Amino acid sequence: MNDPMVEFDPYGAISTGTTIMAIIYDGGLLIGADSRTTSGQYIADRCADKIDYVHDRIFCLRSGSAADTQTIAKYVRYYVDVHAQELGRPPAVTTAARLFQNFLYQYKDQLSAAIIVAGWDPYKGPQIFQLPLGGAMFESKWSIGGSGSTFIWGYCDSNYKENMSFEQARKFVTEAVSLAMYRDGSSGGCIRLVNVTKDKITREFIKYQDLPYQ
Amino acid sequence: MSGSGYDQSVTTFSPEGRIYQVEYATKAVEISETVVGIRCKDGVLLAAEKQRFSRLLVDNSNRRINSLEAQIGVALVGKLPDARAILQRAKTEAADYLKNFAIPVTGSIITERLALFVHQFTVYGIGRPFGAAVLISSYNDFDGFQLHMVEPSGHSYAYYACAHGKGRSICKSEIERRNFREITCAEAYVHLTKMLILSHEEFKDKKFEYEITEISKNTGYQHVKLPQQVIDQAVAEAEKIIEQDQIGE
Repeated sequence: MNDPMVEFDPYGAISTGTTIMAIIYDGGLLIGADSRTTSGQYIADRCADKIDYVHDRIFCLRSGSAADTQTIAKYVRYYVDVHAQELGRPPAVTTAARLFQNFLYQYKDQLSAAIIVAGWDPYKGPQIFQLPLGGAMFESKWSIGGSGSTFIWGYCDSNYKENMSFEQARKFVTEAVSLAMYRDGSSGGCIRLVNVTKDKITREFIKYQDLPYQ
Repeated sequence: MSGSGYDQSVTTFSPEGRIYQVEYATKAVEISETVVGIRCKDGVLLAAEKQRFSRLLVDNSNRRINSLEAQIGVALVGKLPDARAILQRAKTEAADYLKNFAIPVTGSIITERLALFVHQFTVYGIGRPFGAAVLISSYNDFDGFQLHMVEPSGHSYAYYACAHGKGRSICKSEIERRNFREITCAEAYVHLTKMLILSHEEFKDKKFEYEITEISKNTGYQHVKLPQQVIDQAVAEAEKIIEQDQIGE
C-alpha cells in the first residue's frame, strides 16, 4: 500500500515553506506571496492565500508553521478589532506589529512562526514590520521572507529602488517571487498580490501560466 | 437623606431606585478639598487647593495633580488614599496599554477604563465604593484638548469645565459667569486661584498651597505644573480682586 514515490504523513505538520514579500512604493504598499502549502513533500494547498487580513489597511504575511501563524493571526485580528473599536479610529500598523510581537516573544519556545506585517495608517502612511522567529521586530521599506526568500536576496538587493512607481513595484515583486518559486521546492503555485493605498485595497491573482519564470 | 434600612450595603437598591452607599461615597468627595478643571481657548488646566494643616508638612509634597503619560494629567479629589488607589490603577492601565498597543492611551480611553474600574465596587460587595473622584486632562493629535471626570458611581463625562469638592458650587458659578473657551490658559490662572480661594472662605486665615497644571501649545502639549512664582503671582492677584469685590459690596 505504501507508494515509495510519495511520502505523506497525514498527521504531519503543515508548513508554509513559502515566499512572501512586501515593498513600499511611491503612493502605497505592495504585498506579494506564493500559494504553496506543504506537508513534507505533499502539497496540501496549491492555491493558498498567505496574505491575511488583520484590519482594513493592515495585512500579515505568514511563514513557518501554518497552524501557528493562522492561530496567531486570528488572535491579533481580534485584538486589533476590539482596540480599533475602543479607539474610534483606524489602528496604527505599529499596534498590529506590537501585538504580533508580544505573542511571538511570549510563546517563542512553542512556536515556529515568522511574520511580515504590512499596512497603511493615517498617522505614518505605509509601513512594513518584520517579525522573525523569536519575537524581534524591525521596520523596513521592503521585506522578503520564507524559505524562498533565500534565493532572491541578490536579485532584490540589486533591483530595489526607493519610491518606485506602482508599475515598477509590481514588476519587482512579481519577478522576485517568481524567481523564488522557480528555485524553491517549498514555494510554488501562483502569485497573489495585494496593493494597499490610502483609498482602497486591490487584490490581484497571477496564475501559473502568466508567471515570468516557469 | 437617611437611607432607612436600604443603605447598609452597596448591593441594595432602595424602593425609589437609589443606591445609598454610592450617594454616601459621593458625599465623601463633596466635603473634601476642591479641585477644578477648565478647557480654555488654547489648552486645558487643572487646579487644586491644599490646606497646610501643619507647619511640619513639607511644602509641595503629597501632590494632588499627577502626570499619567506625558500628555495626560490626573487630579485627585475626595478621600486621598482612595484617590491614589484609582491613580495607581490608571498608571497600570496606561503602562499596559502602551506595552500592548505601542501607542499611549488617550484621555477618553483611560476615563472609560477608570469608570469601569470604580463601577465594579458599586456592583459587587467586594468592598466599598471609592470615596474619591478624578479629573483627567489630556491632549492628543486626534482629539485635541480634553477634560474628563470619573465619579465614585462610575459616571464619567467629558467637560468644558468641572469642579468637585467643597467649593464646587462656588467654582461652577464662577465658571458659568465667564466663557473660558474664549480666554487663554495664561489669562485663566488668576480666575482659577480666585475660585479656589473663595472655596475655603471660612478657613481664609489658614495657610494654603495651590497646584495648577497646564497642557497647551505653550507647554509643548505636555502636562506640566506651573512654576511656584507663577502660582504665587496668580494668588496675589486673585486676593486683590477678592478684596476689591468685597469693598465694592
